[in-house]
Amino acid sequence: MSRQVLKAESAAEIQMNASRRVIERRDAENWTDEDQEKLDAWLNESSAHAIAYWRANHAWGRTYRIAALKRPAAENPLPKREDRRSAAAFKIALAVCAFAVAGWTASMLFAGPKFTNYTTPVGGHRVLVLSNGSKIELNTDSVLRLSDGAAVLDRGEAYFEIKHDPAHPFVVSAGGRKIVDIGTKFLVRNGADHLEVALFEGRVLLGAPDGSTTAPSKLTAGDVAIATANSTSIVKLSLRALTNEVSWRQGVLIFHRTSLADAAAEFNRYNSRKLIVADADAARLKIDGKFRTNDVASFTEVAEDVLRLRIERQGNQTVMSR
Amino acid sequence: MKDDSNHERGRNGPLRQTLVSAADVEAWFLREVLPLEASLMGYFKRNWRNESDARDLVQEVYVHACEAAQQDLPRTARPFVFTIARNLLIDRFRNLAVVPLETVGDVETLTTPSDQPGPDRNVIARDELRRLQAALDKLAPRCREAVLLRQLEGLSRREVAARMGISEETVKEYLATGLFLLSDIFFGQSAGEDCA
Repeated sequence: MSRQVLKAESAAEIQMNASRRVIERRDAENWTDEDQEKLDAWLNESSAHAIAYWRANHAWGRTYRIAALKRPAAENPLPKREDRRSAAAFKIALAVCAFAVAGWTASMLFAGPKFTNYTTPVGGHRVLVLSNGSKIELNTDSVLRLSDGAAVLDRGEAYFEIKHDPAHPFVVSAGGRKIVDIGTKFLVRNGADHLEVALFEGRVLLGAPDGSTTAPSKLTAGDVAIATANSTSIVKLSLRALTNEVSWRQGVLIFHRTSLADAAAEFNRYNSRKLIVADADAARLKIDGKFRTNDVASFTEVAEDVLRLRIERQGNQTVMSR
Repeated sequence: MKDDSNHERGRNGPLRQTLVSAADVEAWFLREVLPLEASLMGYFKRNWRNESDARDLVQEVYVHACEAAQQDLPRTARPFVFTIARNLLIDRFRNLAVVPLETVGDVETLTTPSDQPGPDRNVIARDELRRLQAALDKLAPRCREAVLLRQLEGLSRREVAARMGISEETVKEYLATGLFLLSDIFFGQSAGEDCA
């Protein structure tokens, strides 16, 4: 009759028990007072019993009603379960900008300005302030080459706050694409197999792959473009989600329904001790949370406590498994 | 220990009649709360570490909701129920003494208007029919046969037993198992979801 009793008896057990009692009650050919007393006693034992009984009783009544409706004709086959993730992915608007500028790509090609190299180590974070007041923040493990009015992100991730000069738009090259600012704050991440451009303010033009004649895409605030060698897709993110993307500027990682695998991969960008998620079930666990980029220890502790994972240190790796 | 708290009694004990009759709470629960089961299951599966706990968590929400409803039926069920769900998660997280977990659950669910027009009745019926068909297909053959004979052909349990050549007790077990699974498919899964 107390919570302890409820805990000991799982909801599934209660529901199975309730189903049995509904069948007994509904099918009884001669339902006696004694039967009713026994049923009442069980129902009065806890609210959970009563509620499970209501639920099962309702379901049984419904099968009956529906069965009554059912015609012998074969039903249409069930529609395939919708893959929500892909549905969301397909919502992506392939926003191809209206002003296709012939020769645009060519005009943006830089012939021989002098570049200065800036790099950050794993876990590093570096802020560059340009003479015109523009600012570039380099995230972990990144390589950026900078010249007057242009930057090449060879590796990693950088956040740009560019003071716009209409006469000399700032151009960022990364992953075989060019990004031309039209007065803006934006993030560029040069990943292993794709380029990500996120727009915080203003507008940029994201060029098609170098050498292609396709028109550039125009990105506005909130757009996140994922560009691969031969495709560009753009999603709109909320300000909050967008802010999470650059939480590294404050030295934190913010996870929101992030899979453990993705979270581990994020940590691995910032730390030389690598996290390995050893089994697929664990990798799919979703987590929320906020951690310092360099605080792998807290993360693994939480994983151990909350997700009940086994944490093993092996050499320069930390292996997480069920 | 002296039992002087109605609140505690209501919490831990059976549904006691207070201001709202048990029949009204039942009707309210079936009409307003039970249709939210699929959303609740999804909510807990997404936001709690262990998907297999979802059923227990949903049950706990039902108990809280119905016990509170005994005092006064909430005007809008959805925000009421999801607030309970959210608080339950917060409690659970707190008990784990975890480092700051930033968010507990998706707040969007709370704000979805509860008074949006429901789908057309015929659509509901068609949808239910399809789900029932799918649900029946998932039952073990003998179990399905028992359910169909009982519910579709309207045979008594004894007649079903005679037709199938099994005991009435076994028929009861088949029907109960069938009902258990069918309930989950009716309430616990969103439309289009596979009933595994």
